[in-house]
Amino acid sequence: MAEDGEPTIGTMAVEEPLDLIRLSLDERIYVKMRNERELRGRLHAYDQHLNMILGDVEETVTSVEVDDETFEEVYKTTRRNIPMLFVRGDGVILVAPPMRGGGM
Amino acid sequence: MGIHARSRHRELNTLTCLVMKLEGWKTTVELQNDAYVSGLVIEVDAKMNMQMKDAWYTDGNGRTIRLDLFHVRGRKIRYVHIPDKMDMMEAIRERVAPLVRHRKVGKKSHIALKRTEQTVRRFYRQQEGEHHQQPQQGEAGPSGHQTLLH
Repeated sequence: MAEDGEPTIGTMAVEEPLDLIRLSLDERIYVKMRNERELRGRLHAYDQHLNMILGDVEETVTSVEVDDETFEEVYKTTRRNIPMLFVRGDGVILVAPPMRGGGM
Repeated sequence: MGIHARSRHRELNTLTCLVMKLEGWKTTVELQNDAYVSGLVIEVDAKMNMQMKDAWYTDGNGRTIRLDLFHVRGRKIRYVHIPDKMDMMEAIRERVAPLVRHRKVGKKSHIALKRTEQTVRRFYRQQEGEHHQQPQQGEAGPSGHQTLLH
């Protein structure tokens, strides 16, 4: 579709913030969700609502429990793996490339 | 834009169309209230409202109820599990890939593109720097910044 001498850069055209997510297609990403949920998985598809299809997902749910005797707050994380998942965009807070070295 | 045109537009331009492909499959849907429902998907509309048959509804406390017919509003859905046997990648290629066209790029977006590439490169360089703990990182800072401006 290169008419009028206007250049096209195919998949690399970055015109709006969401185009940055296109750079992460087929890459592993980190998604922070509402309700203290985090997802790590391979981004297969997304749309303007940040609905996403992720593969090889690891979900981490963090919950706080108060110890009955010491009244200390105990952070409990539960993890689970899901082969493929559709994530509805309204729960998404942020999308990022995963930190190298597993710090995140 | 009429109601039908709008739902058609939504169907074509969001990933809801991929959820619609789940009609006729047995799957699990997780809701915003921590409940999850497993059953046979009968119908999904453009707003992702979903009807299921022969469903098992498990609430946040782990209590399970059997429901012959279950309807959920799309907004209340958090996740939809995709069955292993379903070839979602094929559906993505079929429905989503044709929508990603090679767009015409103007001058301004060229500048934006260049900046974005620089940002991404800088991000990776920073991460690499943290990863290897390079000792000369402090003095490489200003000169590295210089090269980015070109």
